[in-house]
This record gives sequence, structure tokens and C-alpha cells, in this order.
Amino acid sequence: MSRDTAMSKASKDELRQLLNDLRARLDGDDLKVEQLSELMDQLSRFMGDKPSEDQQRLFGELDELSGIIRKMKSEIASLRPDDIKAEYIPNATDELDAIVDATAGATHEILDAMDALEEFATTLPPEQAEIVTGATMRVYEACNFQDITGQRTTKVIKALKSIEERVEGLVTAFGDEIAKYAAANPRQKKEAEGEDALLNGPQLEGKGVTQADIDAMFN
Amino acid sequence: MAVDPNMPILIVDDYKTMLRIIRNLLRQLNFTNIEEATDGSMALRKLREAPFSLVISDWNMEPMTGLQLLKEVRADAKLKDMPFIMITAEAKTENVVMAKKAGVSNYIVKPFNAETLKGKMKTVIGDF
Repeated sequence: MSRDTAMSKASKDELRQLLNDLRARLDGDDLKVEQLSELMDQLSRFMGDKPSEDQQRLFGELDELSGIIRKMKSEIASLRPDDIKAEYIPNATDELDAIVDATAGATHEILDAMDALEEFATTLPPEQAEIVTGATMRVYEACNFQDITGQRTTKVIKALKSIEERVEGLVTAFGDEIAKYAAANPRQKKEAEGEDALLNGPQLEGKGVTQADIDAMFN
Repeated sequence: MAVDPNMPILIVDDYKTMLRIIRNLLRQLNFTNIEEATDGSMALRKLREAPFSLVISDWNMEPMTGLQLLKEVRADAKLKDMPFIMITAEAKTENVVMAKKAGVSNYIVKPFNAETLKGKMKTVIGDF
């Protein structure tokens, strides 16, 4: 008697249905990693009471794979990728945006000052005007840096956003596991103490007090 | 033939700081008739509306890049001979090759200095 005929028709239909469902979910990209263990448990029911050597080996492999997946899920959850998405990456991109804005603002200020100097140079004797003009030209050349650093920073921001999307996929796939881990391991936020707690600047625009606020504290 | 310092020049960059830097450098080279555009589409519109003697364009812009602008210029019967200098941070060989294939007159990599700009302009429009 073959192994196939050892299964009842009902069992075979159920197994076929299970496999069809699995295939459909794989094709539709609708299979979450956390569902694999459950699937393996379901498949193992079709092994019968006296599985063959091949079946036993296959089951052993599946069981091992299931264990690896469980361990991996737990390890990934312990890394708290939700924190990376919710806190670290947005903070990093905000800081980078602030750098671009600040350097752009400073560059415009420098260019305004150079414009004023050039204007002033027109009132000078030719020899002196030439010195001023030469100096302002060097400043214009140096201001190239802002465009380059801006473009480089934009590339880094794009890379961070790409990482954020991937982490979001990870958070979606392991959401339940992460929530379980977070509930079981409430974050012990390491708070800085004493003077160290005061070192968290520079603040982003609107996140700190203004000089006027500070002045008011002294009045 | 001497280059007319009053020749109209179109500078194209999506980054206003860069437009300002190029404008000031050109002014120091005694070129004062300078028009600006902040992307390829705006530049193309301006080129079709008024005569220009030189285009100095960035590459990386949206929605129309400097390379697309260059191709449009070269494909336009009235503009195809327009001197066109690309100033860009794109410094890979394949970029330069692509721009040359598209008919760029010269190519400057950022950051650049006034001497380089002057040298490339001389190559393209003649001595000044």
C-alpha cells in the first residue's frame, strides 16, 4: 500500500486545500513570517501516526526551521525596530534637514555681505577695488560647498527614508511579536543624570527657547 | 570676433544659492545680461521666448533634468546650435559621456572656481 492511499480522502482534500491556500497567499504576497510556525503545525497533522522515515526527516527539518523562525522573531522583536521607525530615523532626518537649512541660510548671508562689499568696491580706487573684487570672487567660489553638501545630505536623507520603509515592513511583519516583547520588557529608558541631562542640543527650530525668552528670564 | 559682455546668458539650477553664485561669478567676468530658470521646463520656455547666446545648466533638476533640457535644445531646429555648458555635481565618466553624446558644449564639475568657468566659457563662446 502506498503512502498516498494510507491517507483518507478527507485528509487529502484538507491537505490539498491547505496547500492551495498557502500557494494563493504566497502568490498574493499575503503570507506573514509569524504565520509560518502555525502552518507547519497544520502540515504536521498530516504525518499520520506512523510516519515513514522520509516523513520523519521532513518533519524534523520543518520543526527545526520552525524553531529557527521563532528564535529569529524573538531576536528581531528584541531589537525594537518600531523604535528605529518611530524615533531614531525621524530625528536623524530632522537634524539633517536642519543642517541643510542652516547652511543655506548662512550662505545667503555670506552672499549678501559679498554683494555689499562689491557695491562698496565701486567707490574705491581701481587697485583697491580689484583686491576687494578678487576676495569676493574667492568667497563666491567657496560658497559652492553649500550646493554640494546639500546634495550629499539629501542623498543621506533618501537612504534613511529607504531604510525607514524596510523597517516599516519589518515592524508590520513582526508587529505582534514586537508588541509582546515590548509588553514583557518595558523600556528602561536610560535617563541622563545631573549635568549630562542638560547636554542634548542643539535644539531644532522651535524646540528650544529663544534669546528673547532667555532675556526675559534675566529681567 | 570679440565676445559681447552684454550677450544674454541663461543660467539654470533648481538651487537658488547656486544661481546666485553663478550670477555673481559671471558678473565678475563682466557678463551682466543674465536670466535665470529653476528647472529644465522653465529654461526651455525662456529659450523659446527670447534669444540667448549661452546656456549654463545644472543636471540634477526636476521635473526636467539638465540632460533632458540639452536633448530638447539639440532637437529644436531654432536652438540646436546653442552653446550649452553643464555645471553639475554628477562626476562619473558615464555622465560626461552621456552629456557629450547629447551634444553638450562643455562640462564643469561642482565645486568649481571662476577660473574654470572662464576657461570653459572661452572654449565655447570665444575669447573675452
